[in-house]
Amino acid sequence: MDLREIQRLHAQLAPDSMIIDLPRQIAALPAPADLTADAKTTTLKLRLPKAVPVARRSLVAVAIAAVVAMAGMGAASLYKSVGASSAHDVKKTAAQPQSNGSERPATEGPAVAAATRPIDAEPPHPVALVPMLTGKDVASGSPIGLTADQFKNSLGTTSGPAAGATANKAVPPVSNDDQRAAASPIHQARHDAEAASQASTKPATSVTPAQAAAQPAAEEQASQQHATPARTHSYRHRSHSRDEQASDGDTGSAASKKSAPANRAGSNEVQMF
Amino acid sequence: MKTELNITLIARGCAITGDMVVDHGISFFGLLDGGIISTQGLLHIGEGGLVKGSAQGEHVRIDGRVDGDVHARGSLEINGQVSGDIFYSGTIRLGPRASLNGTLKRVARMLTIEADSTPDEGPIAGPRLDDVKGLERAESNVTELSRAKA
Repeated sequence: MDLREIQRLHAQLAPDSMIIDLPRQIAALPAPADLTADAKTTTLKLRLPKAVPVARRSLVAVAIAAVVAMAGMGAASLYKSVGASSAHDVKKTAAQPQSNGSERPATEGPAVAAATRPIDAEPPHPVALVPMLTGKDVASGSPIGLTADQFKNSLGTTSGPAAGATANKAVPPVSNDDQRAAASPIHQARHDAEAASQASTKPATSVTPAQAAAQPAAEEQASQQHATPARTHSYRHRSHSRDEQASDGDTGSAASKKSAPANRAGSNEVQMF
Repeated sequence: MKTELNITLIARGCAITGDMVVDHGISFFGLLDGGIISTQGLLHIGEGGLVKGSAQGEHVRIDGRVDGDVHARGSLEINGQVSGDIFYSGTIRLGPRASLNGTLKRVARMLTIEADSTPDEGPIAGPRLDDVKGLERAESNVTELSRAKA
């Protein structure tokens, strides 16, 4: 019998010694991984019920904090509004004595009256009793906009009193298709070309000053006659005619100046089409 | 709290005269002229061991030879020679080489302890016990070693 055998024998019959060392004993035990996973789940299950009251308390605390914060924000906004209104009133009261002393009772009066005024319990006036609108009410007010005819008339008046007078004279009443055709821009361009050729030929001939003075007047009338129908077509034509009228004011080199606007108008028309 | 396993080994070739009292297990392979008491653990009289006296223990295993009474409060396993009375209160096992020469009694646990050798007396009271035993032994049939020598 060797020593190990003796030791084993004594260990079998050794006095019971209670060793409470669970961690070491559990660590010494052969534990599979599944058991450890179960232990983890059990620990989670054990921890969850413990965490529920904590979470509930924290939620309650957060809710209380949120309510208090919202109340504080509301109170702050009310305080700001009240302070602003009071400051505004103070400014008003401070500024009013400087401006006018008689207005202060008038401004403070309604505020006090609004606060102490008895409630008006009378029924409101029915709508049917309100007086109907009449033409006078509409006429009395300033016109909001212009109608199409008013706009055209305003365009005619803005060209100047002299031009307006000449336009009133020169614009022939468009009665039939021939006149409409004559007033068309194509026809007008042809007439302008003819007028330009005539103007270029005329200065070559010896003309007396009286004839020269009379001729521009006649050509001016002709150009106005050609130009005025264009006003009915577009506003831009009118601007060209206005240029022509402005150029008509110059008496010197009338023929050369009149031919250029005609050509320019014709070129514009060609470009448009 | 862990209590270390303390055992006393009396190897072959060791001869002791007197009583031995240990509070833990003991394996005895030598020669003892006296009694042996083990309060806790295993009292093992190994093969070739000889105890000329009484043997008391919690658990007693006798593979050698005991010339005296045997008291076992717990388990008792005998695979050797016992010349004396056997008192046990737990279990008893007899091996193929067991040789009993005495009475075998199963008693209560408290009675397994000899009335003369109370724990209060301890080793100091040993000589007086011996004196008493000597008187008893004088009346008994057992031949004492000392008498034989004389």
